[in-house]
Amino acid sequence: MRHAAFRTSRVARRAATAATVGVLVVGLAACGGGSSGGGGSSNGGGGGGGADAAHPVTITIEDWLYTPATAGSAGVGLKAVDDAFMKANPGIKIVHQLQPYDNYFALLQSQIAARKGPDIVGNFGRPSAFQYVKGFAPITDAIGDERAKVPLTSLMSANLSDKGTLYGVPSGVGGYIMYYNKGLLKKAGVTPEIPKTWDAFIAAMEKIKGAGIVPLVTGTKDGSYVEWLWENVAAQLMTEQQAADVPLGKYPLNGADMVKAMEMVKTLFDKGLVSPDYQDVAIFPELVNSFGAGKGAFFLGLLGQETAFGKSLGANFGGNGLFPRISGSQYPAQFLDSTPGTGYSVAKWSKNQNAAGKYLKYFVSVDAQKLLFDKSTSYPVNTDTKVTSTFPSTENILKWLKLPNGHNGPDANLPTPVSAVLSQNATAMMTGKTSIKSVLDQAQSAMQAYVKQYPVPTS
Amino acid sequence: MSITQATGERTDDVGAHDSRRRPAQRAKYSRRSVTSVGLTTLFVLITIPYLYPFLFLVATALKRPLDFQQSATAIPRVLTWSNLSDAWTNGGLNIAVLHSFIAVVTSAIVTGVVASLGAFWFLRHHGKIATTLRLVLIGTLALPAPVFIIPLFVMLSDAGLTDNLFVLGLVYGGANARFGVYLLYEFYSSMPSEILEAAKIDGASLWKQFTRIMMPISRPALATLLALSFVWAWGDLLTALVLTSDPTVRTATVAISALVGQYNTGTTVQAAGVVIALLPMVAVFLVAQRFLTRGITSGAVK
Amino acid sequence: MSAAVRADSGPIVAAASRPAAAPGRLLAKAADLLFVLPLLALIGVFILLPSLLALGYSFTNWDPGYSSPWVGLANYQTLFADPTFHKVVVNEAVLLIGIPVWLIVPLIIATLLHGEVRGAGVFRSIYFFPAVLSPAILGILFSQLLKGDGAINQLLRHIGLGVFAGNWLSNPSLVKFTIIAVVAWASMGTGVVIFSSALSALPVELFEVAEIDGAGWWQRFRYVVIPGLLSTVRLYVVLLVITVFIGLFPWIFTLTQGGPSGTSTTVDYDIYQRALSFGQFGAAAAESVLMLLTIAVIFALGTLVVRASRSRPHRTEGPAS
Repeated sequence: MRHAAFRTSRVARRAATAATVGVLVVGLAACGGGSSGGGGSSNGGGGGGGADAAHPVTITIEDWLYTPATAGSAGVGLKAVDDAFMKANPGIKIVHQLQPYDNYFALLQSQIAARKGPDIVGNFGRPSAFQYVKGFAPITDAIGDERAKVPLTSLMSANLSDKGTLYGVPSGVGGYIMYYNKGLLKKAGVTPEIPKTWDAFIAAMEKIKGAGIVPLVTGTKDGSYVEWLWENVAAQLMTEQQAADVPLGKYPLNGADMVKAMEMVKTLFDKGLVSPDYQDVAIFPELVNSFGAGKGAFFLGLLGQETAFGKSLGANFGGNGLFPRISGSQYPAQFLDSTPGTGYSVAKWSKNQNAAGKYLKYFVSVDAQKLLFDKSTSYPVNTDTKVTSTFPSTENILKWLKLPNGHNGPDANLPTPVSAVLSQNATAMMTGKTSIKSVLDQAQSAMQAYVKQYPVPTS
Repeated sequence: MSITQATGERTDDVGAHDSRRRPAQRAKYSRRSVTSVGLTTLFVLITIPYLYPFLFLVATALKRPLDFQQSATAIPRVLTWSNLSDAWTNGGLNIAVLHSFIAVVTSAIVTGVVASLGAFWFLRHHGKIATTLRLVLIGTLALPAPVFIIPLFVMLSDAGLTDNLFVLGLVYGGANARFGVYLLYEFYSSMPSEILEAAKIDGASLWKQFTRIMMPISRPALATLLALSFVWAWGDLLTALVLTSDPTVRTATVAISALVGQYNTGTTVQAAGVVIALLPMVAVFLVAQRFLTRGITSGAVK
Repeated sequence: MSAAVRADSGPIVAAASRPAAAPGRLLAKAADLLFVLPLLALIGVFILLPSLLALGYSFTNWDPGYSSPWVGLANYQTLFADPTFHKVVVNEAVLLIGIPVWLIVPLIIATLLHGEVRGAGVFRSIYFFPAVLSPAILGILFSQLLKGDGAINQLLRHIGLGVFAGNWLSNPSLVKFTIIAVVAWASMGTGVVIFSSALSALPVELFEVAEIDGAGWWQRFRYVVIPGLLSTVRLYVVLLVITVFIGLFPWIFTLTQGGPSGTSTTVDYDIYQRALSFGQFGAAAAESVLMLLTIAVIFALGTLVVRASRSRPHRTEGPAS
């Protein structure tokens, strides 16, 4: 697991965030207060280092995660972390504000252009962050020794800067996992578990289909679900280094292996093992609801959704399982396709960069990561964190996160314009209207254009 | 449109005709009651697709989330207020609606005043420069917010004018004045020129011509413009989000947009948010509509 | 506005543009300019200036707020080679079909409502109601209604018209027409209000005369309404053309995100996603320039058509400007 990348494709970004914070049923809403930008400058020039109770510093944080206090939602964990930090640092006041996700990056882009905004901004590590990194301050020194315990930062720094400078920290671990509906599998006479191999998986689904049940809950309206499936198949066909090379444009997306992986995904559609109305369903929230409402046997979902599915499916919730191993896999066993979810960076314009860095150091500490896990089922990025669970599916994840070879496939690392090529053509590829090769060719040229426009910073 | 030519000698009593002639007109129409019944039926039928989506919306807002998951279309068996209270308090719509009003009212006033004044000027100036200027202004209608939002934000931010609802209102005012000046210019131009001529001969100042003649005469067009600019400003998302990113000055559409996060399966809460944002608009709409309708039925002029 | 009006206003123009001789004249001229200055300032500062900056950046590798090196026509070349942009061109061409629909429906409804129907105001209000709502919000509602198992298909199946149920938003050959229909629904009320307002400005006598002459509904529509509303219609068409190019964004954003397979990506949505999602600011600026040129060409052609039709003799007609 030392090797997971930031997911940056638009879809994967959403996915990772959800996974990281374990949000399934939350009401995102506007809370938080204070002012952006201006608030942080009250102690202007002080650098925050000398902050004390007499001269308090305000640190403003902006993200799309600070949801209201619905039990289990991301906001609960984040608020607990903020409160604990303020208690330990009476000289620093945290003002956390939620922004709408759908236009979040438009907002961030404007703030970077104007060099004005909050002290800490939520984002997704790299490589889509190449276009934002000029707005971030280096936090290598601020995070200091803690960095060694947060292996996910290695990828962040390797890709945000060729000098290994750290520009952000991940907030939690995300990844993909299979879920199953025990009741439906039993009804179809199939062993209630996630099959270990791809062939067994296909065989089980054909049996399920024979029983008149939807085998795999699928929705391709936004295209992302096809990307998820491709990601999990293709990850088994590439080395960890190759996966890390994808966002740098050094690994061809249109190579034979990548095409083959997409063709394997297409067999699911060719054999009719997917939801009949898949073309019309987007992942969030419809597809997730659909599995939660018992409308299919299997679902490729995200880490952290287990609690919500356990609740909505009740006794029919079977549990989770690793993605089936394909026959051509480069790895002897199954592994968890895991990544850092969202991340936080200190804004370059912040007048209190030291205080902000201090907050982020606390954020990735054992204490804060445990709070996030306990309150919001966010899987800790700090490897020293001791967490336990009594919920079997959550226990599984904690166990699987320690498996060897955990790494990404190609999709989780794609920048937005490249991911968009795939998602916008997903349905056409799956229905055979557009050739897989031509779409992957197009994705590859979009990737080349991206790395040319946003090269890795050299400082 | 050419009222002058079409009405010929009658232009002098435009504005006086309506009250006197309407009864006669009514009587004539009542004779054709069969057609009238047919038309009414047609219009009633057309209202169905206009009412159903809102019934669906209100029903969703009052449904328990689980009931909605069971069936999106069924009539709710149990009504709940929790979605509405969730959106109101947690969703921050309580204050966001007020913010929207500040920006939107500012924009409506600015649009109305600035576009009327400008249209009146263009009515009196048809030189090369004036005409070019008018065309350029109308041409700016084709500039969408995604094109100018970032440079605008940088400019306003340098001037310390972001996170300010009145400035947001001014931006909306500018955006809506583009259409406004066109609408009012066309309307003024369609007025019989004799009216202004008469005022000029009486020695009325420009300001008097504007306030005593143009403003009252253009009331229907102005009402349309105000209603539309209200609507457009209220519905804006992108400009509001970028120019007023601070949650303490957040507008209603931004607040709702925050409710519609992709991790959120709470369709019912979203619907509740939409209903809340809609209610004040319904009120404004009814008032504006009365004004509009009055303007329309009174025969437009005077 | 008629030629007569233009001629009549001649003296005013002359008076205003006469060279200022006395200080009083100068003062009057300054006062006169005050009428137009607020408008120029507002649009100039908030819309025109930032847009011109953006358009200028179409020749650079634009990185807002940071150094943006000159790249000549590279952004335009990128666009012309981009399959997404090709789809956008096709989509916009098809969506132009919407304009006659969006125009004619409210025109007919407004005419029918004019003075003949009891409760016309109520109907107008009901039809106008969606216009007070943000398309961004209505889009959320419609994505629910138009889903495969959404309310509209359920309703169709319920009343035995299941064959007409469709994948409104996910069928590539259907989606643009769904968008046209939804926009027709949402914009009809605006059209009706604008046309009603213009109709009410027409003297009632016109309709009475037509009636005495025994003119049927069509004749009244053809010879009274159409000529009388010509300038309003032109105004509305301008609005609709602009809508096709820059007004569909919130609908696309909420209903389809440009899908399936880019078959509903409009130029405004593409500009948005290029600039604010993909970080391709230069290409987005270039696309804005191309869009503006297209609109300008359409309007130029439109003006030519209007001029040509004006030269033909026409009963009661005298189109504006």
